[in-house]
Amino acid sequence: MNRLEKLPTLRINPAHPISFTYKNKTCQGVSGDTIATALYANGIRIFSRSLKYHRPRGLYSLDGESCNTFMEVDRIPNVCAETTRLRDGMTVNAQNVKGTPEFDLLGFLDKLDWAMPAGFYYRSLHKPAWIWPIALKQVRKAAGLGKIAPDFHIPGKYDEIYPQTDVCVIGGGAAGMSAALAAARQGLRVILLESRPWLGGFFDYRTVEYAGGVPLYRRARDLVQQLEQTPNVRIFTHTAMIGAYHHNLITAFQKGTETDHFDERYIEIQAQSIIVATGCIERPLLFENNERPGVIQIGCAHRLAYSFGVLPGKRAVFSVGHDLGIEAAIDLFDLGLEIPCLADIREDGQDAYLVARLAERNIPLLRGWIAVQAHGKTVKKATLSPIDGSQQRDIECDLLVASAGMTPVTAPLSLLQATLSFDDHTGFFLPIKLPPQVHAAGRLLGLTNSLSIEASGRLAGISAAADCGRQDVSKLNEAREELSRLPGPQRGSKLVTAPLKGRKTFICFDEDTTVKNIRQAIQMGFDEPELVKRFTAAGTGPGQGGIPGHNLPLFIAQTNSDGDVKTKATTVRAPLVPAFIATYAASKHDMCKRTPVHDMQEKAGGMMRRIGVWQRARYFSQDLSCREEIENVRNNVGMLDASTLGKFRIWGPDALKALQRMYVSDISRVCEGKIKYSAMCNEDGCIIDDGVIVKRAENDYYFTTSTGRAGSTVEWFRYHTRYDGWNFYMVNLTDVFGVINLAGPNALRVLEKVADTYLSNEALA
Amino acid sequence: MGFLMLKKNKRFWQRVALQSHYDAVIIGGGLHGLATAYFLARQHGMTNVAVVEKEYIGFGGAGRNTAIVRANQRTPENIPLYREALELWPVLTEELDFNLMFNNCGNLNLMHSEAAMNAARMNVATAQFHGVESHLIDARQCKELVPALNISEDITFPIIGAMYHPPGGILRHDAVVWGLAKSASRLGVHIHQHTETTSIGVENHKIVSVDTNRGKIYTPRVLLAAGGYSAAISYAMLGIKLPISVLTIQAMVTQPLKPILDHVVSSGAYHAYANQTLKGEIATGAHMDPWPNYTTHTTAYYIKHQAEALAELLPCLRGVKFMRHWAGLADMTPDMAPILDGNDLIEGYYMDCGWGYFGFKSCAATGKYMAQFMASGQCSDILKPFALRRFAQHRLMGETAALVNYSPDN
Repeated sequence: MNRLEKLPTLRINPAHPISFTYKNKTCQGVSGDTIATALYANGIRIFSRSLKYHRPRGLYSLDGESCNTFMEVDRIPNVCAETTRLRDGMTVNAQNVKGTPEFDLLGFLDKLDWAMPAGFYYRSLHKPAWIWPIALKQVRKAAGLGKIAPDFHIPGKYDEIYPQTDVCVIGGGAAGMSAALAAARQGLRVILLESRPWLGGFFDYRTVEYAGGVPLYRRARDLVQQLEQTPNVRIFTHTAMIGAYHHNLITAFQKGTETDHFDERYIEIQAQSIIVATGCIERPLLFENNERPGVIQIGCAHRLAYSFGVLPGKRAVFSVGHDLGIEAAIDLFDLGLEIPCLADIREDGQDAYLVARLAERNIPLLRGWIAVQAHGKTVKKATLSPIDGSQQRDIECDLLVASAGMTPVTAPLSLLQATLSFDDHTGFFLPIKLPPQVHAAGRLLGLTNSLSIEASGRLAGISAAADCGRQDVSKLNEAREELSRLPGPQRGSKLVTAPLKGRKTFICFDEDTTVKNIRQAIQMGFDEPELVKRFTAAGTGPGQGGIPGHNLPLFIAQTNSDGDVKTKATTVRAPLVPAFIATYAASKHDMCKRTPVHDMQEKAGGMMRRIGVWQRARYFSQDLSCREEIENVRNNVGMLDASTLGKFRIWGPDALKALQRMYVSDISRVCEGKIKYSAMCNEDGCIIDDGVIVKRAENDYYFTTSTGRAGSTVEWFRYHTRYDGWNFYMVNLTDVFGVINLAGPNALRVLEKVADTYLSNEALA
Repeated sequence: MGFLMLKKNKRFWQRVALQSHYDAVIIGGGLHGLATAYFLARQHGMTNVAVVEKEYIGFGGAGRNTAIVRANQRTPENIPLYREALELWPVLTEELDFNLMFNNCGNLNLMHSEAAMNAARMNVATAQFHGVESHLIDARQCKELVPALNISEDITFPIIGAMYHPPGGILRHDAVVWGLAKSASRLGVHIHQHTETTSIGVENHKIVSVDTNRGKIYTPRVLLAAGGYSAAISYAMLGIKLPISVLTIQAMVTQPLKPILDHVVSSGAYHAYANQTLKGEIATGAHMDPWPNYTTHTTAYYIKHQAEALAELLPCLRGVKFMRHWAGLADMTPDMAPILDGNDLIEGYYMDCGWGYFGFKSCAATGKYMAQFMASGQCSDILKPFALRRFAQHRLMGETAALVNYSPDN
């Protein structure tokens, strides 16, 4: 087992192996692995091929921001290997490849990019016209990622719950946990949602000091412990928030573990107040071949080692834009990763302590430098250059850790209708106006200092408590002051692209959209980010904009020569994380009425069918022809459950007048104790209903309607007599009585037996 | 490889200054506005035309519909228009020199009861009478066309059969917007994005001008083609009340898949339809929200309902993930047929609105006839039944029965 086993931050149990199959070979992972980390530990670097160019793709992040690690698992297509936990006996295969991920017969498409500029499909394949139907078939075959069989049945149990809460905290990092604790300490019910299988966020895997000699990961575990001891906090881990709707309705789905009774569970939370503490993901660095297997993000490299015990490579070049990159380099160097150099986009502003530790390890820091190109099918070499592009240096490596900066995860805020605006200092889209009863906290506000992050969480928690009626002004002021004393948002890196004009700098991995494609789209008049997105498909893939979400608007604003263009974020849509239709559908809902003889009919082999709001026996035969049943009614006798028909009593001085208006027949001719069949019309004279009318006594009638109109009949009568001031009463008896209809030549004889009296046709006439 | 060679990345449409005079101003840079502008320029030589769009072209219904086309409507007044629209797609692809990606895969309208089959029989007869291919098929034939379909008896609404309409299908809706805009612009039409109409000037019952946030335009003709916003504009700016209710309608797509669904499938009883886009996503949607509103917000209820319906109709899709859910506005009239009118209440004032969720299917043919109407002042026979006055005269069109179980209330 090639795992680092001694780290205190590990989230795996190396002592507990798990076997699974990849490419028909048995591989070993360990408990706690995701499919992707297990494959990576087994030396797999190429996980899939890209949509358009069939370029090799590998592990880039660990939170599903792209479809790089989408695989077919147990015949289910498009399974995100980096966010799906490994289970014993899983069968994993690559998808969208002809051959293997390493040797894909369609790999040549990568050389045809010149023939596929932005909007290629719109501008070609239609001349001459006969080409299109042929091309269409090929386009359909080439498109799409995973394959699903028409008879496929996804196994597993899908559940749903509808909890209510005072405060719902989205994001279980330091800010979210602090917020949840602060709100809970005001005596409120709190729900905390975290998409990873554990709480802790950015603190969870880091060993740098939090305060007073306590490392960050230790602090995170302390917060978790405090939360677990707070009975009014309900924690949902491995639960991705997917939607936010009117009146603070939050939807999420939870992945079950071995001990849960469900595989996935849909959760719909009604909250009074919401705190968004979703933190940040990394902003991809744009350079040539920036999505090659072997190029990975800082957090991915860091967590692979510290959470999953996998040293991500042997010799790694770093090209970063923020201090977390320096910290990761130091940590990984200490585990034995060779680091020839670290390029930092920033000329200055690095944390002095981190720089000193880098120097102690003799890792050269290249300020104002950046990776401009990765070489090899999986990374073999990286080219670095200063930002002005004045010189280049090639360095051999098997890993290129690259990150331009941070991207706040603001999607939940967007769904909650918050107003976001681009902030020059942080380089973030920050909330400038939050709707009532919505709060934001933590790293997504640009905060990087651990104490500030927690303080902003506490402030949000106390503010949310105030929304729920627990106003505590002194605590609120205290929290505000505390936050204002601590360091504020950090300056973000400004750089958008590396200084090299290549053809394969990818702004969106899922759709194979390059920086060049975006330039072409802008040239063609698509200057609106939303239009660029639609034309180039950037950000419309399964990664939900995780890769291009931030770079695309920045790049468009920079490229658009027309001056006064505001940096505008593109629209965000639910579900924020793709969710199974099985999970959404969860348990089958069929709220329907049952007649009094429902169970009896079911026992007798009745095929129950939905008729309007009712379940009703449709037939009792083996097949739809129902020959025997029909013949029995024709020649003998049959019984029909007519309980679903509308049943009403109408009485009072003007009851007859009302009936006369509604029915087409002359109801006054119905004698007491007699029955008449008739119909009702609408204003246009179309028949809308039929049934029978029974005269019980003077101005006291019982009548029936069709099943479908039973619900609206009282209103129909009232509506059409609304100006008359007539005096009558109506009551809907549909659910009160059961009705059995007897038919056939022997119907009378059956009725006689039941009625225990002689009945003749004459007597009934 | 000749068909692959592309010309240089020329600008599709020009950014031009707003002129003070145009021969016609079209409010709304959606499908109907752009189609009318295109036909005005191409077939009637009227090129001094402005399309003013508050957001960007294709922002509204044009970019939010699920791009299904068909011509199996219910009434004799409607069918000819949709039939011509259907026939125009290949023609337009060539004329616009833009691949509209028409996939005439055919539509299956599922029926779940004998009563629905009977109603469909009437639809089919009307369609066939007007020369539109449409016929009834049974459940087994449905399964042959769509192997993923669940024809078992064991679901809430078992499938009895379907109305099969082979000439229908899907297009790429954005391609239609951009293709029309490109060709209109190259013929001289000015497309002004981010230009909001603030008022419409009328003197002596004649249109004289349109005020926008970017300046005043003098013009003798205005076409209102603002989709869901048309009724509000008409009332606020001209005091003309249109019998339109605006309802939100939602749609969503799954993650992309290899081909699995070769036809458009729809079901009135389940309130669901599904088709597979060229990108491989399953696009699905259905009924409108049950109350009028102007938001394009989605609801949790809706996506869940859709999942429940698909889980029964196409059970293999349970193993597929929803990826994106959005909403648009449907401008519904009482008879579910549009308002196509002009020169009636105000000279030079034309209307092309009230399309509900049928605006995509009809845009090409309507644009053609509206352009003819605006250029000549004469309304062609095909548009006459759609005049606003039909509501005053109680000549409603009965298109509500076009889909079994559909009405403005659901």
